[in-house]
Parts: sequence; structure tokens; C-alpha cells
Amino acid sequence: MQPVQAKNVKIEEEKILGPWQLAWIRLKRNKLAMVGLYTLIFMVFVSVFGPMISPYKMETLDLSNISSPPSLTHPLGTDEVGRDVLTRVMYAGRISLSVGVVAVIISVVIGSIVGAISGYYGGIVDAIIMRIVDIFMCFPFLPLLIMIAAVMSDYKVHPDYRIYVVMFIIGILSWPGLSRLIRGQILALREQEFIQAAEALGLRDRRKIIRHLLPNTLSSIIVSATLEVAGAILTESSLSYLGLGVTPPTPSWGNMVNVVTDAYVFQFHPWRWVPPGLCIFITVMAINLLGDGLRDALDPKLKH
Amino acid sequence: MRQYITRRLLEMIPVLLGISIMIFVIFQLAPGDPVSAIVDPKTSAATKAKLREQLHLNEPIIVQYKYWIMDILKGNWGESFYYKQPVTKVINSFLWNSFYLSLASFILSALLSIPIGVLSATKQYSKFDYVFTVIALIGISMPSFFFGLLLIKWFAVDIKLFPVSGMTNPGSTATGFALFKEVMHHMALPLVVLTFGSLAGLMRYTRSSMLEVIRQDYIRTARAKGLKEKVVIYKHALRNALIPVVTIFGMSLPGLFSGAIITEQIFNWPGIGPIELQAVNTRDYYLLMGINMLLAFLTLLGNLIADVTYAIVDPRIRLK
Amino acid sequence: MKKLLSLCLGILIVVGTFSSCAKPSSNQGSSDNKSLNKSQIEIIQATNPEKLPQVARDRKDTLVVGTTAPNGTFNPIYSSSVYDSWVVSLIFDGLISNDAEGNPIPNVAEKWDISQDGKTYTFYIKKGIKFHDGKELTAEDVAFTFTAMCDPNYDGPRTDAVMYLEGYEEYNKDKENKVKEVKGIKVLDPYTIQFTLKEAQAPAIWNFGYGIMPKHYYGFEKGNIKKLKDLFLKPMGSGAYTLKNYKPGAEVVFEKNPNYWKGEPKIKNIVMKVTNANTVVQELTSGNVDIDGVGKPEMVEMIKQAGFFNIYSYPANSYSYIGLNLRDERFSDKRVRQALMYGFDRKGFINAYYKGNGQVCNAPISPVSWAYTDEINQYEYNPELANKLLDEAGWVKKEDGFRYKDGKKFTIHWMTYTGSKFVESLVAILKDNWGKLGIEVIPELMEFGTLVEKVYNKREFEMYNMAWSLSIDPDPSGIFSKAQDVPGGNNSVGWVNEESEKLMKQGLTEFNQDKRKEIYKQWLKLANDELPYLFLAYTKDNVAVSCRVNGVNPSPYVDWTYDIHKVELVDVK
Repeated sequence: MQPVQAKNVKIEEEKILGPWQLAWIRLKRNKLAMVGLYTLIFMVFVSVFGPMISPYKMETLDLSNISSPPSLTHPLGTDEVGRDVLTRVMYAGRISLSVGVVAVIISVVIGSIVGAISGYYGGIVDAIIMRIVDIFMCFPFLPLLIMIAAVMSDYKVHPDYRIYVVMFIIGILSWPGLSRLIRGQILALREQEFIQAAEALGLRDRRKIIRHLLPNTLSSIIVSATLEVAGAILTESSLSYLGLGVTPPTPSWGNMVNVVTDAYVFQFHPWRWVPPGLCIFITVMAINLLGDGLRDALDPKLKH
Repeated sequence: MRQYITRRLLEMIPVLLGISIMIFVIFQLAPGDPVSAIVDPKTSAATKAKLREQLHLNEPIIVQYKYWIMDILKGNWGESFYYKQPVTKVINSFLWNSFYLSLASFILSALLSIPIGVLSATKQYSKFDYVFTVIALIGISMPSFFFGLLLIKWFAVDIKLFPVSGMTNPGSTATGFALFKEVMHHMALPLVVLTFGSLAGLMRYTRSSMLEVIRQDYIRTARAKGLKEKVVIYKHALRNALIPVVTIFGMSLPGLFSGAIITEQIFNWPGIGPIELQAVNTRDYYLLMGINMLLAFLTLLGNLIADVTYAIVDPRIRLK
Repeated sequence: MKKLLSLCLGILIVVGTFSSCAKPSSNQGSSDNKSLNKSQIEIIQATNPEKLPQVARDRKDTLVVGTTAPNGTFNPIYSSSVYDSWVVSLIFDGLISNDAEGNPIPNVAEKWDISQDGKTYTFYIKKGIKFHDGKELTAEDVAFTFTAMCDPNYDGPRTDAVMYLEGYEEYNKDKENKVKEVKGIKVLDPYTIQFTLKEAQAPAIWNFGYGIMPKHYYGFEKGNIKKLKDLFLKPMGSGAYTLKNYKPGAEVVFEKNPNYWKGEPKIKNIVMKVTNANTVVQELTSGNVDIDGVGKPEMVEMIKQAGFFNIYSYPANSYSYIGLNLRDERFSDKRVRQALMYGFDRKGFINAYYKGNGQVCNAPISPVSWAYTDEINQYEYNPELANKLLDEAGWVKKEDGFRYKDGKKFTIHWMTYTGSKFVESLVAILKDNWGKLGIEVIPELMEFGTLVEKVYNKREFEMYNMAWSLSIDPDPSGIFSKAQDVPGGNNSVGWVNEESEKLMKQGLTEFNQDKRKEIYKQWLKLANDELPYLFLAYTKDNVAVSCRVNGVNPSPYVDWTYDIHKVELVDVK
């Protein structure tokens, strides 16, 4: 893909802007998309640098000051062992944002490529790939994850590093759905006139898939990525149950928001779950806005 | 077409067999077994050893699989270790409760999300579009137990409009229509929770796919021909926009039977979700096999149905 | 993805709320754990009975009790969860039962004799007790019930109650149906039955509390135990209630047995309704449920506010602990164990976490037991002493703040279970407290089943934490004896101590309670000093009982099913 594209850019540079530059200009014009982008950058920035400037550490206990409501010293209050909620929310952002983004990238890359290949070639290739997808969708993930957790524990993988495995696992788990989605659309697209035209031009398969088919499924890919970011952030916390997620006292938005299962905290200590919950929502919202903007910006059918 | 379906159905047999081996092995490789789940000062190591022998847990995986598959061929799905009852009986007593709830939510969310998705697409970037985008995204980023607890607080405790939990009134002996009414009354809150959580996906996919389609040349042609906007949208565009929706529908088939664990838990809805969870926790191999094989079958079936529906929605798609 | 997510989140809820400590299945079958020192029960009286909701007032002939979903194993020799055993104890009666103090009392058996050597138990059955179908309960039915537990194909949880019977092995090992009966079970006449044990054991009396099944209804050919399983949902016994309807995962409905031999029950219907810890407060305060357990102190507070519940609060017959692998040479040093105990602010932790709903534990017997003593070392938080003990044991603090011995850093890999708020708080505090001593703690959280496998079967761990739910008899040998120091055995830490073995043996074979108490006192002192576990906490159970219910007085050894035929519903003004 790279050489083809590079050549393209060079040729077109003289006359008009390259497609990526064009997209960027379109994106910049879309105010909402930019709001999404800046929000995301802000979230990343705060997560990375926030904990450094906070006077508290994410694991500092204060048993004399447990579950206290927001105050000047603790802007978002403290949790059940007196830790500062704001510091923990910022720290949790590092985990949750990276889990969300990495997992979704893995899933989108595998899912769209597999789906595209399957849909484009059809026939026996499609049959085989789709049977593999079928099997994947039938995987009993709970026991499998329990097993992986046990193996990691046997090999004494340090609990702090297991989070990388988690990102990978969540990514790997969620591609089959997307691949079926893409395949379905490609099945329809490849019968359309513009692909038949591409066929007549004698374009190579790879070029047809990447330059002509996949961009037309971009909207589905973006929707699924948006949905999955939220899913991945919440799934991370549930994987903790299987011994795969982050280990306490390390926080993540998912495991922080889980305290609402406690009816009392739910009703009387909202400062403990509202902030992480809002963070998840804002992140998802930002990705969605950015995604919508990107889709419009990259739409091959739109003329600038 | 008939030939295609027959072939796919036949293909299912080896695939299911393969899946069964895979699942069986994975269950067995997870640490622990049904006996080790018992930790009790009144149960000695000797007793545990005896139980293991009775259940063939000491034998190699292949031998254990053989016992299982031989029983299946005789139509016997084995006995749940935890419930001491035939697996089919255990599944049967929870499965349908889950199904009713999930089906109701599925229908409701389809009825809501497709029209909303279409409207959002035709009125892209309007207020309507934004409002529902925000609602949908709240739906996916809000854990369902949170929403469930909120609804219970508002509607069951504060204004007492709906019951806190359960599927029928305690000790109820209602039958027929009275029973139906009672169940609907209890179903209301969990239904809202489930639907809210699943609305986002369908709505967003419909919207994006619709957006994609209405920019296509043939829609422009249709409009140029002077067709009414309604006809253009609902007759020509929607049909083509449904491909991702069909895929999602196909993939939701197993979901109709697998139960919604959290929602069922919060509302004490006697569904299969919490049962599967418990089976994992207690390493109830045969029960797990039963549930997972059922879901595997439904997954395959759902994907097959989706594939067949593609051809109906878009006649250009040729199935081979 | 969505499915996996919900599956996992679901677990979080189950585990998070129901097993904040690992609660093994109940041990006493029909006669759940019961006994006690009255002063330990705290009763908060209803302050505003008039606030009782109309729903509850209208339910005149029905008592609704909240429960976790039972498994549907409604059979006295198969029930394994506490909730199934509630069902069983409403429907079946055992030979003996126990009172609130945890002493055995007559039930179906009017009286019993134990022979001089402690091996022979003779029970005299009350005449005229009828099963639900009107047939009389006789010694044959008792013999049938206990023989069923010895069946070669029996796979329920009661094997340990019968395996010491004379002739058990012969009957159990024989699959060709040559041995027709268990030698140690003898029907002397229709109202007298005798059991002979291979060895004398004081707690053996508790093996005779399980509900009696009518032979004419349940009777099966040896080996064909499936018949019992087929009848799980059609149970018949001699108890105060009959099963009317069971909706799995939702409710169990009972109707009174008007001919109950102890007197006609006063409440017509009982419903055990499934509730969960997330909504139990809502269920109770809206009047949907009359009796339910309430976990956290904050929730108790919410129930108290409602004003129409009497709340019973008492120590549970259980304790939580940290297990150190004593095969590890670092932990085989008693000074290190003591240092870890002194260097951990258990009181601070327990007050912060349980908020008055728990107390510090220093020995492996619950304060509710007659064998309990507090004349033992309290291990008050004392970091200086802890540091001194560690210095003595040769662990030297270096510049980096950690302790080293023979060039090795003192690092503890701690395996614990996921989904528990208790563990999450404990992790935070231990890392902090022991970190100050110069010990690095690396917690690793795993799914509970995996943890059990590693701790009990493979015994590959440095440190773990769990809890024990105890039975009515204080005998600790089921957990701490040398015989349990095998893979799959309960002595996972590998505590083998000659003195302890001797004392446990004495305690087991002594039938006089005062003398036993003296023996256990010595044993507790030993365990308190040797620290086979680092003991954590005793917790309290809280049960809310609506003020319209009269006669339910739950305490550690007595649950709501106790004397259920005397319980009544009253009108509240």
C-alpha cells in the first residue's frame, strides 16, 4: 500500500492537495470533530501529567479520612480507604485510555482485513474464513481467560505487566463481529458498478480492496470502533475478576465505576462513581464526534 | 438457494464437533474441577478423592470427552454436578425466562433504533440527530447495573409503579392472561435497561449505513426522476442500508438465549445468565458444555440466517 | 464482546456482594449452625412500626423470606447450600436438633444414649410422628436415610458424616449388591435405632441431625440413587411445611402441614423469594420481604431508618485469615509470623472496613462457641516490636528501606481472589503497613476457583487469604490436623505441631464439655502463639425481621426456620 500511495501523492501534489491533506482540511472545518479531537487530547494530557502534579499518590491511604465528600483538599472526595479520588481518576485514565485505544486498533485492523478478504474473494475462501469466524464466536471465553490468567501466574508474569496482555486479548476477542459486518457490506459493494469498473481497469486485488472497497465501509468501522472503545474500557474491569485486569491498588475507570454495585455508595457517595463514569462517557463521545468527522472527511464521494 | 442452505447446514456438523472438542479441552485446562470447588472443613481429602473417581475426573481428557460424546449420541447431555440434575432440565428451567426478556428487548430496540437511525441520517447534524447520538452513547457508556439501580430507586421505591424484582408476585398462582399481565409488569424495568443498552449499536449502524447509501448515485437518480422523498428513503435507500443491520441481527440470535447476566442479576430475573456464571465458578463441566453447545449452534444458525438474508435484501449478492 | 462484557460484569456482582469472604457450603444440613452467648446478640428494635407498608399488612397469611437462589437440591442428604438447607429444614425433621446455645436437643428422637466407650449411639424415636402422607416415621426410615448416604453411587456432600460407621467400607465398596446393609446401622425395634462407630468422637452426635426421609416414598434399590435425584422437587418428610411450588431462580413456596406433630403451624404460606445484595434494602423497605440478611453496616443503617424492622446482629460462626506457606523457610520462623501480625494494624483496618460490624480475631474459634476464650495474646498493633522480631530473625533493613537476609529481599507474593471489596481494602492496607516494616508485598488477584486449586490442591503459594465458616462443634482437626496436610486437604499451610496434634486428639475423644473446654483453651493458646494463620476478623451477621413477624429470633446457631411452627404474623397498628 505504501509505495502506491506515495506515488499518488507525488503526482497529485502539483495540481491539488493529497487525499490526506485534503481530509485534514475538511476535518479542521468540522467544528464538532475538532471538539472531539481536543477533548481526547485533553484527556490524554491530564492522565499523563495529572498524577505527576497531584499532591497525593494513587495508593496513599488515609484511614482517618475515608469516604469523605469533595472538599478543597480533595476536590473529588476520597474513597473507602481514604485515597484521593481525583488522583485515582487521572491515573486510571492512563490504563483505560490505552486499553480502549490499543484494543480497538487491534480489533479494527484484524476485523476489517479479514472481513474484506472474505467478502471480496467469496467462494471457498469466504467459506473457510467464515467458519473460522464462526468457531471464534463460539469460544467459551470465560474459561479460556481463566486459563490464560493461571498460565501467566504460573510463569510469574508480574501483575503490572498483565495489562498489556489484557489489551491484546480484548482486541483479539472483538474482531469476529466486525469482520462479519465488513464482509456483509463488501459482498454487496463488489457487485456495484464502480468495482466492476475497477475490475475492467485491471487493478490489483489489494488495491481494489484497500482503495475502493474498505473506504466505503469506513462508516461501519468507525461506528464499531466507537462502540468498542466503551466496551473495552468496561470489559477491562470485568477481566480483573478473572485475574487478568489491573491489580488493586492500581485503578482503572472500569473498576472505579464498579463501586456503584454497592447500593449505599450508589446512593450516598456519588463522588466515587460519577467522575470515572463521566470520563468514560466523555471519551466515548469524543471518539464518536471525531469518528463522524473523520468519516465525512475521508468520504471519497464528497467533493471538496 | 435451497442447495446452499442444505450445504451450510451439513457443514455445521463437523464445525460443531470441532467446537465441542475445543470447548471441552478449554474447560478441562482451566485450573480446578467440580470437586476442588468444595472447600469445607467437613469434607476430607479422602471424600474428595472418592468423588473425583466417581465423576471420572482423574482420567485423561480424551477419555472424559469420549464419555461425554457417547452420551450425547444417546441423547443424554449428562448431569450437572452442582444441581445434581440432568443438564437439559437445568437449562430448560432458566432458558425461556431469558428468552422472553431478551426477545422483548430485541423487538423493542429494533422498532426504536431503525427509524431513529434513518431519521438521524436523513437529518444529519440536526438537533434530532444530536439528541439521539448523545442518548445512544450514554446508553453504551453507562454500566447497566447502574441504570438498573437508578430505575429501581425511581420507579419501584419512590413512586412504587413497578415491582423491585422478580418475574411474578411472590407466591403467585396466576395463569393465562393474568400471568401475562403480571410478567409484563415485572418485565418493564429490566426491559428498559436492556433496550437502552442495546439501542446504541443498531441506531448508529443504521444511521451510518444510511448516510452511506443516500450519497450513492442511484439515490440521486431516483430523486432526479422525481420520486417522492419518502419512497426514495424507505423503498430504495433503506433496503440497501440494511446489510449491517442484518449482520447485527444474525449475531444477536445466540444473545436471545444466553441471558443478560447483569440485568437478570439486579432484577432477580430467573434467567440463564447467572446460571452460566455459576457453572463457570463451580467448574460444572457438563452444564457448561450444554449451554455452550446450544449457544454455538445458535451462533452458526444466526450467521447462516444473516447470509441468506443478504441475498434477499440485496439481490445482487450471489450465494455460492 | 457485549456478551463477554456482561458475563464478566455479572460475576463481579455475584462475587462482590455474596462472598466478600470465601464462604464454603454450610455443614450441618437440616440443623444449620446454631449456639451462643446471649450477650453477643444485639437487637435493634423497630422504632416506627406504624410505617409498615400496606403491601406487607395485606399479606396476612403469607411470610416472605429473602434468600439467595437455592439449587433445587431439596433433599436432606444432598442439600449443599445454606438456602437449600432452609428448604430442607422446613420439610424434614432430623433425629436431633440444636438449641440457640449450640447444644444438641431432642427432635424426632425423644432421647439418646451414648455408650461408655463413645462408639455406640442409641436413639429412641417419638411415637406417632407422621410423614406428610400420614404414614408413621419409624426406625426403618432412619436406617434407610443413613444407608442411602453410604450408597456406592452416593455423590452428595454428607459422606464424612457416615464414613466412620462400622461396616461403611464394606457396604460402600461393594458394587455387586452382595452386602445388603451397613453393619453399624441397626434397627432394634420400630422406635429404636442404634449406630456403631469405628472410633469414638465427641462431635459425632452432629452427624445425626440430617432430615429423615420416608423409606416407602424414597426407597430405592442399592446403587440406584438416581431415584432420590428424581424426587428433589417432590420432597416429602415429616416437617412443618410442604413444598407447594418451586420456580427456579425466583421463589420457593410452602404450605403448612396442618397435622405437624409439634403442633399446627400458625402461618399458612411461606415464600422464599430470591433477592440480591444490591436491592435487598429496597425489597425490605418497600415491604415486599419480611425477613432477610443485610450485609454492610451502611445498609443496616438504611433499614433502621425505615423503622419497622427488628434487626438482629450477632457474630457469625466464622473467621477470616491470611495463610502463610509454612513450608517456606521464611515463614516457618515463628518470629516472622508474629512480626507480621504485630506489624499489621488489624484494628484500624477492621474498624475502617467493617465499621463496627466486625472485630479482631486472634484464634481460630469463633466467639460464639462455648470453647472460645479471650485469655490469649491480642497482638495489638506494635510496629516497634515487629521490627525487633524481624531483626532478631535475621532480616536486616538496608538503605533502600527493604529487609534482606542472605542477600535476598523480603518480598511476599500474595495470591488472593478477585471481585471483593474486602480484598481491595486489605491490599491497600497490607502494602502500606508491611511496607513500613521493610517488606514488599506483591498482590496477585485471581478467580476464586483458580486460587482454591493453587492453595489446596497444588499448594503452590507463599501467602493467600480466605475465611472459614465453622460448624457447631469447635473441633479444629478438620482444618489443622496433620492428616489434612495432603493435597486437597484443608491444612494447606502445612502446620504440623506435635502438641497441637495431642490436644486435638484429646479434645476429640473427651465427651465432657467442661473438660473439652479446658483442652481447647490450651489449644487456642498454642495456636495463638504459633500462628498457623495470621488471623484477621470475626464478622457479624445482620438479619432484619419485620415487626409483623413474631417468634423469629435468629442467632449464630439458629436461623429463621427454627421452631417455625410457633412463628406468627401479627397485626401492626
